[in-house]
Amino acid sequence: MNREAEEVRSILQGRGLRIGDIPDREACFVTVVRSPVSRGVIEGIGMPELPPRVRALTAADIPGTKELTVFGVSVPILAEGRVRYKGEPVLLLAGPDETELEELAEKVAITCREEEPFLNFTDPAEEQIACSRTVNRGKVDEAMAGAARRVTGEYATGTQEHYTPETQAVYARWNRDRTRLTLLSPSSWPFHVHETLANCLRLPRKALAVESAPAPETCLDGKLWYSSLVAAHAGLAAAALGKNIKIRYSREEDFFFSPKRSPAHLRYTAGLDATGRLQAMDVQILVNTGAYPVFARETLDRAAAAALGGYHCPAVRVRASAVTTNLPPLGPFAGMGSAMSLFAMELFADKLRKETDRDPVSWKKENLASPRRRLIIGETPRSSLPDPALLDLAHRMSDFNRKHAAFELARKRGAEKDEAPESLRGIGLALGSQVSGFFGAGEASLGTTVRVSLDMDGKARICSSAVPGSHALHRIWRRLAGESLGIPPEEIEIAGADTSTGPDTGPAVFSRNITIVTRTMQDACELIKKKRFRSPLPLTAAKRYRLPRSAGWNDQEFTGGGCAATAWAAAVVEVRVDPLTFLPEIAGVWLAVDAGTVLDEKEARRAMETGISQAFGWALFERMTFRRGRVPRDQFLGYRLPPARDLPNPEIAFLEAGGKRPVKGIGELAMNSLPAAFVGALSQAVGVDIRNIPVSLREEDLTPEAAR
Amino acid sequence: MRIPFTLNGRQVLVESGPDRRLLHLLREEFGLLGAKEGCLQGYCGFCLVILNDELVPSCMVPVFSVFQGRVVTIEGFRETSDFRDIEHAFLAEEVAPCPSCGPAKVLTTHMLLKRFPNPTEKQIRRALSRVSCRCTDVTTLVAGVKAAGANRRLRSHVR
Ligand code: FES
Ligand code: FES
Repeated sequence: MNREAEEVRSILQGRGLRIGDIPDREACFVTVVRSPVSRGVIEGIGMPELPPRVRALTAADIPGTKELTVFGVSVPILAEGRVRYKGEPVLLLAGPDETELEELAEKVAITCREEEPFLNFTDPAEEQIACSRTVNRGKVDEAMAGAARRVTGEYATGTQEHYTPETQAVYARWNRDRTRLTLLSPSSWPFHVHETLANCLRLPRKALAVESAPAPETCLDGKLWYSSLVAAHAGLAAAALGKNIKIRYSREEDFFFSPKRSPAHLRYTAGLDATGRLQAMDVQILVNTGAYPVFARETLDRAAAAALGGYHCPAVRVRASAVTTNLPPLGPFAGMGSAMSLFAMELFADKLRKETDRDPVSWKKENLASPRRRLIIGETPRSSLPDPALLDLAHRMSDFNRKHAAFELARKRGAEKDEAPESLRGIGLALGSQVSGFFGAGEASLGTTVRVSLDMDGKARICSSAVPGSHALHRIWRRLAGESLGIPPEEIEIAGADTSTGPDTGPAVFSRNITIVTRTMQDACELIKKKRFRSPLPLTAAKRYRLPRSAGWNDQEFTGGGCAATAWAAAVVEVRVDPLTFLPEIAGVWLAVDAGTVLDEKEARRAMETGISQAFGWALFERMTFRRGRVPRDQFLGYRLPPARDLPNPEIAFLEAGGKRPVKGIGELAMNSLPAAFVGALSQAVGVDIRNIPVSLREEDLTPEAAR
Repeated sequence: MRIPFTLNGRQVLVESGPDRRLLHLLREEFGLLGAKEGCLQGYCGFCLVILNDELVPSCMVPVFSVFQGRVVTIEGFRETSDFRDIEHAFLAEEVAPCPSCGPAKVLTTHMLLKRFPNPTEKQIRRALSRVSCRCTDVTTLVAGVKAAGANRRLRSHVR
């Protein structure tokens, strides 16, 4: 039995440990005392009498840097002076008894001079704009004025909770003589945790190590940077008490205060020629980042690059802005940036084709980008362009054209007769894309490195800090490294992510592990292979990732390859809707996917299906709004992930890859295509153009008046 | 309050406040870490155990209600042939859950197969909806449950 199977076996047997399960009777705990107001200035902290075993820690107790930084954006480790959202960490109580800490925390009184909070992002004040991305191509106003028809549309996408299986957690453990602190963290970016801790505690890098959680859990972006904040709290307490520290958020605490998906608001105006071809596009995108605009630049770049989806338009203006509000941090989630734009653009495309009385497939094909009719980011490698064959494949798999026409006819007849059918039917088609790795210059700044060594017995070892999201990554690495080095996969050991032994591989996000890190690992293996002819064993090779030359990125102009690779998908969703309750049933899902070279088809299907569940969650099931600066409690009690019984059994087909094609990340593809296909289907079924997700099923929202 | 009950086939007696959650009793007093804490609302299913032949979220069970009852957790169930049917099937079909939901998915499969030895896909999906999961596919899991059913039917046939 291979190592991955052994790991699964121990999980099935109930022996799989999460960070919160690691036994340590001596460990102390931390309770976070949080801001009671959305915006204001801290005027005082009233403390109860603390027993000697309990320590209270504020920003003043941080020996080093008081903020963590993510790509230039700073977030206070503990708020000092000013608070920016309800629930922002202000003070830590650390001690041996969790219940006692919670009781004491209840008695801490943080008094603030409250200020009017910014809770709205769709009509922002100037001081709310954290950053913007503007893209200009051609003469938009002129083209718009000369267009045969002008069409506008407005769309909104909601927030979403990560709902990671294990909530935010960390275990900080001293070595025997308390000279070295090791953190077990679920972070998908161990080196960021390391860097944050070293700066905050002012410790030499070598006095720290960050290891990944004992068993892999899908990397959801909720643990991308926020785990560094939780780790910093544990580190502070560990240093203050000289004890090991365990922090594990309750589901409730996680739900209310950890980061969520950024909601967005998008406005589209298009100028069309008489046949329905795009002549001019003007797009405005507002993204709510909550109190701290972490990853805002990346989000805006992705949103701007996806603003026109896979279509070509000669004159384009995109203005995308990140808007801060006094809400908990809102940021990355699968499909970050791209998903919101693709949702809006695909629904807008449907509106445009209706205006010119075209069927969905032919409108899309006619407006699709090609080597000569470019995407918004300009010249792109052919392998990163949308292939029209995807639309044909999706249409063939689902019988789209026939069903679309038949459902349309049935709906019109039903409306004429004014009688309710047994069920309302609809089908939608949408195109979506996913870029692998960070956008533009982001990837180059990371210095992703993988180290491979081959010892005297012919055994290989791969070292990185890549946090695997499933058992499959290591299985794939073993196979690829084995093929490259000419040794059996069982002879390859893969070291767990550990900042004290592995090189920095950057965060596990944007499908980087399966694309960029895997490519770098293969390059390191190739280097060993070459060295083997000249040098005796043992051999070690470290390889650093370089963006392909074709990806040359001009940030000023917003042109170039933009990323390591772009995958595309055409998604079709069919729904049946109960005419009385408006409850939709997902009758079918079909996905035609251009994933480039597929390394493991079973795993690729699994990744797509996982994405489908998250996409339906975002579009239909998961409802989260803020009231007076926080998520209301009833939403915690009622928050539901899509259950297995309501999820479709999807049909997924991969486009045959001709020639040497790059491996493309596909984990976000469903998120970037399905919501629009689903809403398109639902809109057809109920006869109303729905424009927002999560979809509201209230009758008053599903009437033609509501759509206006 | 003194509470006698059968835990994984052994008679045990604990001293506990009556409204403590069974989940916490199992984890803290018996060191049984297979049932995991999730929502503490009876929704996520991470804490499922078998109480008097029924699958229950142990976070919603006050300990007084296990008085003289029979509790089976993954630690007890893993010693049975019924478990091995599921384990072999899940490994063969590459079902790879995380530590949070893995034991709950195994126990759910067991109880489903007890009721429907040859379940339909719909029955499997309905049963698995007891365990919330954001992060893996359903198709593999359905295949795993079907294979587990086949293993179990074969074994009972052979026997
Ligand atoms: S922890 Fe018991 S159901 Fe979620
Ligand atoms: S919750 Fe465990 S795999 Fe999803």
